[in-house]
Amino acid sequence: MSLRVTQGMMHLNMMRNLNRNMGQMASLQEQTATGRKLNKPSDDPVGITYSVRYRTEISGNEQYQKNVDSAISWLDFNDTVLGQANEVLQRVKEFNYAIGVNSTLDINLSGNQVFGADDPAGTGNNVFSVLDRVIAALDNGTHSAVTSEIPNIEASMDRLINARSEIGARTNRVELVQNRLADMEINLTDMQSKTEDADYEKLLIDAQINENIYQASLSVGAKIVSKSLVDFLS
Amino acid sequence: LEGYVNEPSDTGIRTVLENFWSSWSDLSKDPENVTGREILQENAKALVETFNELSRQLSDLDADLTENVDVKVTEANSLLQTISSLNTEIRRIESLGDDANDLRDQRDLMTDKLSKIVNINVADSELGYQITMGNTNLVQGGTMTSITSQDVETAVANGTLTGGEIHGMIVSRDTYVSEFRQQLDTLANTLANGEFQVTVPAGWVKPGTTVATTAPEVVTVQGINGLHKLGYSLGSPAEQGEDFFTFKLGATGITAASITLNPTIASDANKIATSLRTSTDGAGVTTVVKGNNGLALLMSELKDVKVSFDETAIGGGITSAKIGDFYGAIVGALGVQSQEMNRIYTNTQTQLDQVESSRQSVSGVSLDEEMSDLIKYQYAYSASARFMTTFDQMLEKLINGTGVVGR
Repeated sequence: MSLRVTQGMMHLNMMRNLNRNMGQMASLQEQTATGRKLNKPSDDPVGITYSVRYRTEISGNEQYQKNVDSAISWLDFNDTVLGQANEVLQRVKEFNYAIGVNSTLDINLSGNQVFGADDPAGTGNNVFSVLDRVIAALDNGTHSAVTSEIPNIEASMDRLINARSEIGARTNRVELVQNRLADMEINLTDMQSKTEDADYEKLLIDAQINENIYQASLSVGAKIVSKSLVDFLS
Repeated sequence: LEGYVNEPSDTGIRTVLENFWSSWSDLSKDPENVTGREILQENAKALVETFNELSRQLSDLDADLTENVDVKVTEANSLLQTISSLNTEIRRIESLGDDANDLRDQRDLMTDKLSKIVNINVADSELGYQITMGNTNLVQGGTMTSITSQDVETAVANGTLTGGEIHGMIVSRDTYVSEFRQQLDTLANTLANGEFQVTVPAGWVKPGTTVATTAPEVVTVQGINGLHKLGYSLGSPAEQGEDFFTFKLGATGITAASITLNPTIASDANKIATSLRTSTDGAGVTTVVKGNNGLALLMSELKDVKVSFDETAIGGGITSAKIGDFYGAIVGALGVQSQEMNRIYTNTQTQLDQVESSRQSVSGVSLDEEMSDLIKYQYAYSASARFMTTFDQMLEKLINGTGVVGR
């Protein structure tokens, strides 16, 4: 390197190497403490773009899962209600639930679908009109009128059963989506972890090696820097 | 800059954006629920406040850098003053024939410090050190020219000042910080007004009409503001949605610093438009179909829609990307810049150490060398002392010992 090596040069060298070792130790320590090898964008510029995207998708996935859970409970509720066939949903509520990217699912059925078309005149197939006519016929005592309504009653029951099976089919579809979302979550978390997380075994071994190097540089540096010819001249 | 951006983390812009989209999705499940609306309102406020805060931190950084340049300029001027007066002093002492080594060492030290601040050329003449920066004479003999902050800014602009701390600060401020701010502003503005296309499902009642559409329609809208105006809020009679994001008083457009939630929406959560349908009764009164969640759904799907980012005003092009991806790209670019700087720093540091070592090799003091020289001279002294003793004895013999016959 050069012909003369002075104390100043050796001192400089030692300080530089010590500093570098300390820097290494600091960065390994940061990785161990956070458990991630990607702590700031400069650690892995390409990885950080992946990391941002994975985290966004994971949180979108969580939202879809929440929506799916709530859709399932609404569908179950619809099923129960239809099973009892007791209440009439008056308001036309349209609920479209977002269960995936660009995919929505209708979870309600309109009253017309369940009970038959609107029938203000009372002569149509609407289940209420049919029941009204049966009540009137029973009041009047005309059994033949009651018998002639029986096919209508059966048609209404068929309609109700169709509605329930439709709800069942939708519940199936939603449960499939639920499973798929759960799988996606595992995959996304896996990919995110590969990008961001630190390999603990490697990290700990590296940290130990670094510590040894640091200690060696400290002790050797101390020995070399402190001794000079002066100590040996008596 | 990396510290301010704070990614990857759960507290940066990415998280507030996600919370914003999630709250639209939650609202779409029950559009009339006042809790859902209030939550959306708060998340929107958090989003704009995060943008505002980051922008404020960046402008603080900008001001900091400018102030540091001023401080360094003052320091440079005082160093120049010291060097020029040392020049005069050294010349005076040496012309009297004495040694001015101490002062020369001091002058070297000052020049070293100055070279860290600005890039200089030093020539040793009979008048002392002549220091030039580019074409400007800073010190000549006993006269110095002081520099001002304005001078250094112009020098960086026309390429005279290419190294040193001042150059670094000015470049950081004008290139890196300012570029990042511009990208952040683009993100904020595009979020509010960027162009994209949505497919509105059938059954939509366009504002201004009373008949619902019968087929899905592709509409080009300008940002969340535009999308919000496609629907109706909970007011009665039906009210079209207003701009969702506006800018603060005193600003001229939407930037990261000026973006804010429309004050009417901030004070009344019912002004958030979620419905795409109205119904008109026989008397011509139009009321909104409150239960319809079409607009809320479209809003929540916006995170997956490609929006057009227009950077032509700052010298870029037009990119089409999802909002999250654009943000990821900004952060990635920052990461590359930072990594590059670290690499350059390490390399330059190694070079500096080499130069310093070479200098020390020539001018440094080696204790061993000096000690062995000391021994050598000490022995030389003893040897000459011994030699003198010999002579002394010889002379004594000669003077006192000869010619004593008969004494």
